[in-house]
Amino acid sequence: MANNKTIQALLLVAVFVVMAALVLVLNIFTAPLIEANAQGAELEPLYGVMPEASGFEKLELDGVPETVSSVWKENGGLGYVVRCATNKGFTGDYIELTVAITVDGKISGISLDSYPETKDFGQDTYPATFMGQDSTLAGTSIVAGVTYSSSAFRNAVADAFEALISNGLIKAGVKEPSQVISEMLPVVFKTAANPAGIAQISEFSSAVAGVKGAWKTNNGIGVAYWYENGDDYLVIFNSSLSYKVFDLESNDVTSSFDAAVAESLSSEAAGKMSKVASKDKRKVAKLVSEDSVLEQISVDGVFNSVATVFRADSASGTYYCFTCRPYGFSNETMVIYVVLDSNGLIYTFNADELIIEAEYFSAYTLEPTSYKAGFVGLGPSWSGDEAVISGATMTSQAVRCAIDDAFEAFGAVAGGNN
Amino acid sequence: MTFKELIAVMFACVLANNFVLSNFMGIESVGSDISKSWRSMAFRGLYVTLAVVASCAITWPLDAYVLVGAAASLRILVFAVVVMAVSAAAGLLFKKDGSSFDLPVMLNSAVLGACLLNVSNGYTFLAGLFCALGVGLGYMLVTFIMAGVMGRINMKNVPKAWRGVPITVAAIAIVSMVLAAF
Amino acid sequence: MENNNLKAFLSNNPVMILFLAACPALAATTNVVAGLVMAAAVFCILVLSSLVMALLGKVSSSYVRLPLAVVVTAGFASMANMLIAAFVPNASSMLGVYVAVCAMNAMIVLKGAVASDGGVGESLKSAVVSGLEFALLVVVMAIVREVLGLGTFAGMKLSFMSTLVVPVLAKTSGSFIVFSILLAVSNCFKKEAK
Repeated sequence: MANNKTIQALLLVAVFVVMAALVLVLNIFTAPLIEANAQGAELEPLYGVMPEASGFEKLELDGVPETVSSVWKENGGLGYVVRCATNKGFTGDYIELTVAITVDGKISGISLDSYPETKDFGQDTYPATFMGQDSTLAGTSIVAGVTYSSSAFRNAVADAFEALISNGLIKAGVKEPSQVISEMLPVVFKTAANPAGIAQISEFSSAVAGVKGAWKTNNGIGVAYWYENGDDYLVIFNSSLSYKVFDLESNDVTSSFDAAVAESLSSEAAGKMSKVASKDKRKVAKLVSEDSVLEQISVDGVFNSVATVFRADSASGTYYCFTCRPYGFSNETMVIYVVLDSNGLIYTFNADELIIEAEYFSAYTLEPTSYKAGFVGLGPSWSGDEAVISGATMTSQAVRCAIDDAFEAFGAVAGGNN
Repeated sequence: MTFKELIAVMFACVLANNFVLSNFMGIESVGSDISKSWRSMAFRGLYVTLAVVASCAITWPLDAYVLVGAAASLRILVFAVVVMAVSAAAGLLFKKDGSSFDLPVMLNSAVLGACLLNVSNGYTFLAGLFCALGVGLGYMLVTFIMAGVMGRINMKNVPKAWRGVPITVAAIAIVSMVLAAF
Repeated sequence: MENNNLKAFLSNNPVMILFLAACPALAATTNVVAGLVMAAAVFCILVLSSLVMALLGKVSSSYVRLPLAVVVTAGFASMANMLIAAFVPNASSMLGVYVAVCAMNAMIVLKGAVASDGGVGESLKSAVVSGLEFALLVVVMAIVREVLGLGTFAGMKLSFMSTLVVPVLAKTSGSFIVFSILLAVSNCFKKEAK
């Protein structure tokens, strides 16, 4: 009977059923325990930043920035814990952090959970600078030399606040004018910002009354002032001494600004600009035909990396030569020459030094002649791909920035009757 | 997942996460009775590849649609039964070719391991299949390498205590260091 | 799949038995706690499945024993997996899927298949002995790999080890190295016993 195939098959099935039943019964007892363990593991980092918490409840919120992974409310009314993950750092891998924010809107605990970056921004010290900060993050700054990683971290913390503020859970902190001004500067004043949007400026002390802060841009073609006469203003000057004024809400209030004050700021700013006109003229003269007559024109209302503009009249036509000074690798100022024809299309392109510190850096592919020739004939609707140098991202971004700025300046110049 | 990503998953299972050398599964079948015949090695590799792909193809939908809720605890049992059935069926297929397999090959933990990992890693059905293919190919790769390596070892020269299994494992150790470079 | 072949297979090469359970030994030994838990799990699964198979020995015919052994082992492996996940969650995350893979563990299944031949007492004794041998192997491996490879013991840092650490031992190749050495050592003992 033991050899009967059907009996054997039934035996197999029977044993299977018995084992399955035993497993299912055990599951009834162990499943809750396993669930509790999993939950405990999830809550562990939350207790890490808020040890005195009595428990957490996960919140489902709308309109949360994408760097925020989860938001938790502490059951005893102590506040909130937000977990964030940002890949906007240098390597593009995720920096993870957990931050505890009290109901007053201040940071009471912060921990850096994962840091895949190549340069250390002070993993033990930098997050600690955020303790006690409110949503303005006024007391924190970006770490010099590790700007991408530290600004990614800082922006993630700002996003954590944003998630809570936009859902009405805490009140936003009030920013001091100094903070508003310094945050507005790279946004409205492209001359001062590198392609990642971080301001490249150095402070100087102004002799004009009412000035609370004065900066010149590192590429030498822009000056910015924080002026206060009861209200706070950001005043920016370009290399042609054309200026714009903004209030703290980023409104353009140039027309209502005191002209006399503008005049005194302007004459001081003129002295702070780098004298690049004659040098640029010599360089661009080589890019156009020999019989060209070069005349410098001012760029009113254009606040980007364009330093000087020359109109070149020759027998073959009229060309516009733009010298741009964008921030490239390691935030060094590059000098890029873009010559446009009278239709605004690129006639020729050149640069002083495409790869900065070329003797130390070789992980890129660049054939200079064909690279430069690749820009000829492009117009404002170009895709940007022609600027890409494989392996040299920051240089590529700077070149792209320079060409876009040249097109923008052409729009301002050609529109007028210069 | 795009096709490129699927191929990448497959290659990951062959080299970087080689199931035998990195995940330790299927060691038993690689280590025992490594024949010097290329034909039998190839058949063994094909058998395992077929078994693992077929098992993954069956177990993934089973887990997704049948084993829900409390029944998820039955996953290991059900998968083991499926793997066993598939291995036996595949073994029958190969019997016609005249090769029969040692028991350790048929009880290959790599097959069950692949099925379980596909589910716990949250792979999609296609990604799981490609991973399975990679597992099989990786297994074949290791078998061939080990056959070559063991073929060069003359057991008479090996100290008594090391003969047979221990020297095989030591050889696997060195091969794994090579693949760890990936 | 004659049982005689199986028996011969297992007894001709005593170290083979340990090698057949290589998978958990190699995978679970980077930490002493994980090693202990895995050793205990394998021991329990082995003893229980051999016991059950021995009890079923009279009613099962030779060609159903292997599938039967797989089913029984898989059942106990599932239970072990669940118990570990519920009561020792730290170890559970370290062991991952390897306890579950014991369901197809050649050593356990084959011992189960062979167990149905002999009486309950004999099979139990054989299972306990193999289980203890294996447990010893795993624990020693875990201690060696963790202390010499990472410089910690069950997660606690050992300060005197900081300069003596051999990192490769904690990696996958290291597990093979230690395993082969321990297999050779146990081979010595077996030869002496003969």
